[in-house]
Amino acid sequence: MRNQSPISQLINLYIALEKDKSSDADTNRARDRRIGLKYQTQTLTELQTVQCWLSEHETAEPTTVGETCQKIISASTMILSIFGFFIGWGLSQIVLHYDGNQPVNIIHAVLTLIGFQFAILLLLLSCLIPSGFNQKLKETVLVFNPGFWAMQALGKIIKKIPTELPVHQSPLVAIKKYINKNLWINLLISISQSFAFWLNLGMISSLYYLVFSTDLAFGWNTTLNFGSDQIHGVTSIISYPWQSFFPTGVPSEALVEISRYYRLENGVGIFNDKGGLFAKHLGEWWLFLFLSLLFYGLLPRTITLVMMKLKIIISIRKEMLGQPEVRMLLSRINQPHITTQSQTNDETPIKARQKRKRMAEELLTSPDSVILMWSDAILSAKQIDQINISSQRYLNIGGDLTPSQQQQIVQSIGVGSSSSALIVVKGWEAPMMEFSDFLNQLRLRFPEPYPIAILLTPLAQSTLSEANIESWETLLSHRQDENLYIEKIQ
Amino acid sequence: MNQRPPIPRFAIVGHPNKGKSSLVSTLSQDESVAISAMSGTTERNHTYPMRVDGELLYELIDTPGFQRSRLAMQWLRERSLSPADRAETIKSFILAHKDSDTFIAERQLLSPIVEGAGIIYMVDGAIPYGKEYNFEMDILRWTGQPSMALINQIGHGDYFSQWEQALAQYFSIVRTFNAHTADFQKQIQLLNGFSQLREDWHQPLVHAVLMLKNQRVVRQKESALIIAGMIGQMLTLSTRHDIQGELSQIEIDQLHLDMKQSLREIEQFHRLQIEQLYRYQKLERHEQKLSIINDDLFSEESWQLFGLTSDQLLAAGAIGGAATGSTIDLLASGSTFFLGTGIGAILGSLTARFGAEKLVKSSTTKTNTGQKQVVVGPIKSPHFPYVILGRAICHHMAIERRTHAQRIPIEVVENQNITQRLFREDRTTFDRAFAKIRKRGNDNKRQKETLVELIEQKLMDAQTLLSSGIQTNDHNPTASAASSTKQFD
Repeated sequence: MRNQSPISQLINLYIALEKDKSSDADTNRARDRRIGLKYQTQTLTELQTVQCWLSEHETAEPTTVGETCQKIISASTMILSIFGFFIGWGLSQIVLHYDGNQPVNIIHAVLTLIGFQFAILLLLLSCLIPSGFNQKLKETVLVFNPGFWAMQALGKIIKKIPTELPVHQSPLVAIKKYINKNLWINLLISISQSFAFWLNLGMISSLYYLVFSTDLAFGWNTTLNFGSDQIHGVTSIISYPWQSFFPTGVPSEALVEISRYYRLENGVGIFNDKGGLFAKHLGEWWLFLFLSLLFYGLLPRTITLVMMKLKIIISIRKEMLGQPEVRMLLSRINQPHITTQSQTNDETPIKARQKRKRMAEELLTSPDSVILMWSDAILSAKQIDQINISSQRYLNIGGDLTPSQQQQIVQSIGVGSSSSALIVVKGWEAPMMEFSDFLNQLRLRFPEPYPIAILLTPLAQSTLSEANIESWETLLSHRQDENLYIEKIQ
Repeated sequence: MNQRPPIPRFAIVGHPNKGKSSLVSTLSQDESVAISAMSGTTERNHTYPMRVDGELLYELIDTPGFQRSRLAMQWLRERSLSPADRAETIKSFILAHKDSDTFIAERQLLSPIVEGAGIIYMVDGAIPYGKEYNFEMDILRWTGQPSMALINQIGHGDYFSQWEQALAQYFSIVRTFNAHTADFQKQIQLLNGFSQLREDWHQPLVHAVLMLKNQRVVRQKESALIIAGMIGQMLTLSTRHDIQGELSQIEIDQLHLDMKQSLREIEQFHRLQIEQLYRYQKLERHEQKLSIINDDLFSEESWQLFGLTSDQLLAAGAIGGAATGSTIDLLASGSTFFLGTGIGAILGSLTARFGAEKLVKSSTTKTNTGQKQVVVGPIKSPHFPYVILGRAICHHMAIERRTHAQRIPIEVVENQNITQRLFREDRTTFDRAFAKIRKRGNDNKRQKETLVELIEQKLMDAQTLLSSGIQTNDHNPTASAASSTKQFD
């Protein structure tokens, strides 16, 4: 069984189910049950069952469409992550630029490197509360995510791909077709978290590099009327997460006090009245900045990244098992497969039907016709009147007579004593081969052109159906007999 | 050593055109069995094995009708010396005519019987008994195999008492069974009847019956899944089209038409799925007139039949509106004192009452990237889910009731009685489920499960209503004839 990512599994599952739609439902049922029986001895969860089913479907191809889709997503994530790292590195280099003239403003640095992204993070977390109403919020927050813009660009390409294209021809079609809106959003958030993670890593690395390779001096200033005690209060709150186990990372009141600087004429930075004396302490801020980036940047992003990965896995699992098609699949796998059909079927034989010509009335009504009542067929007085039968020579044949008895009756009809034969049959009964045998007997006794008519009678209070008539006509049309006629009483 | 019980085998025999293939088609759920009013459609034996996970439980054998029974009987009588050798004489008959064309049908139909198959002799109770049948019944009696006679009804006549008397002379078990109209219960009763023919056939047949009952339950569940999937898809279907500037009315109308067409296609696709589930591959649905399930999804008739009354419309609208309003309450963390829900409910019911006639609506919007789009759908009418659900239930009932022997296009007439009854009690529950789908989309597993359960219950209720004999005014002539048939169970 291939070790596939959940997205790959989801796409491959959809493709397999889609493919099944074009094949025979009963064949699918038989195949799925066979897979079910194969894994019957193992105690599998529904998800594992679906995964096993999927693995049975894997083709010999080295890469499935799902795997290719996963590779595209992974590649996008990787490119964005590398991009994130270098942006983080560059941003940190810009913000922490120190040329010895003016210290790095710690307020500016914290707000730029941490503050903005932390605000977005909080917004994002509010979106992760599972409920339906924050959908709009989630979509709005996405605009702040670089992952959104990257995937938006990808989406533009995908949009141009016609959905009619078979999924195996373009994995992008599969992504468009099978990844639903919610999953797509979660995927974008996850990718953007990956970007943010590497961005933070880039910033931290850059900071560490600068600290290691240059002599950084931090200070703070603000136009607002804030005192150092207030700034100290804020830094203490920010440092709260690490103050117990990393007290050196918490700026002291004295450090805050000595770090304040003012910009006066000609852009020259002048420290407060104690400035210069404590210059060597100004670098101590780096640890605060480092820990701030770690605790408010990298760590939360790591958590959200892991969370999003888990969320994606869970939502894919939910989606996999929640789809009616998958519930159907599980039913096919778990329920006994019942077959009742024949393996071989006859094509319905198409028998040529030829309308038999009608017998001349004078032959039908001739007083010397012999009337043969086949298998206890009955003619009522009304029917006799209806077709104007005048002959009184009635003979019973068929029915419970044995073939020998029947032969004797046929032989008893004197040749030359009758001008025609009228066989009265139950029109509602299907003609059988023994009737055909009887016609042969009769024809041997009375060769052509002796006219023979078959009179189909209906059931009492009923009429003959077209199928009844057709059945008899078809039988007779197989006989190359020009003097064989068919008549019916309705 | 434990010996496995013999596999029950049943040869369906009789005069030509007496419904042998129809019986096999119904019991084997196989619509591909060649059935025709023409005599001699079945020219050789066809075996229909019932297997559960590959294990053979019983076999039905469709045979050609007798063609020369009198001649065959004469041959047998001439060679049999005593009643004790009759079964052997039959075997000799088959052997003697192995290469002959005279007794092809007789040889075919007698072969499985001499090999141990039970005899199911079929006659048509709509036409009178005739003496020529005696030869067939005699031959079958000579085989000495366990047998049962079935009186089928193909036409309108009633000659059942004649047949009962005649058949009782030859068969210990005589039953009536209309292969075209027999519902599931009757089919099960018949299979149970088969098990009475031989003691050691009882166990496999009981198992078979159990499996068939289970299959029915599974099919209902799967049908509910299909219908729920369809409803979810149809209720949330909307299309977005990038536009530059404004659309003309003609263009908007075209988009609405496309939307309706997409909905029709979804419905048709799911219909086919349900038909396939019940093993109908080539069911005709198009040529029927005045048939609800063949009616167009957007036809007046459908909406009148399955839609809501004014009161129901108000209630459904209120729930839909309340669901929307509750979103505002949630966003405001309840600080609106649930005014949103209340106002939403009122607005919803008013919209439902006065604005339901416009089905497909469209609006223009802008995406996050600023692209102007026109959005068509989803359909928000409170009627809509009831129309599609009502039609789906009717279709399912028609499929469930149909036997595979029927060759006429599917037809259901006036099942309004049933659908009205079905939703009488729990329309509110459905309103809520539909409102949730509309609000949260079609991707929520829990709401899907809820809807599946609700639909499954309705499918079962529909079946119960049908079994309890609710008037469905089915115009099928064979169905009404069947109701007057006496059962000998």
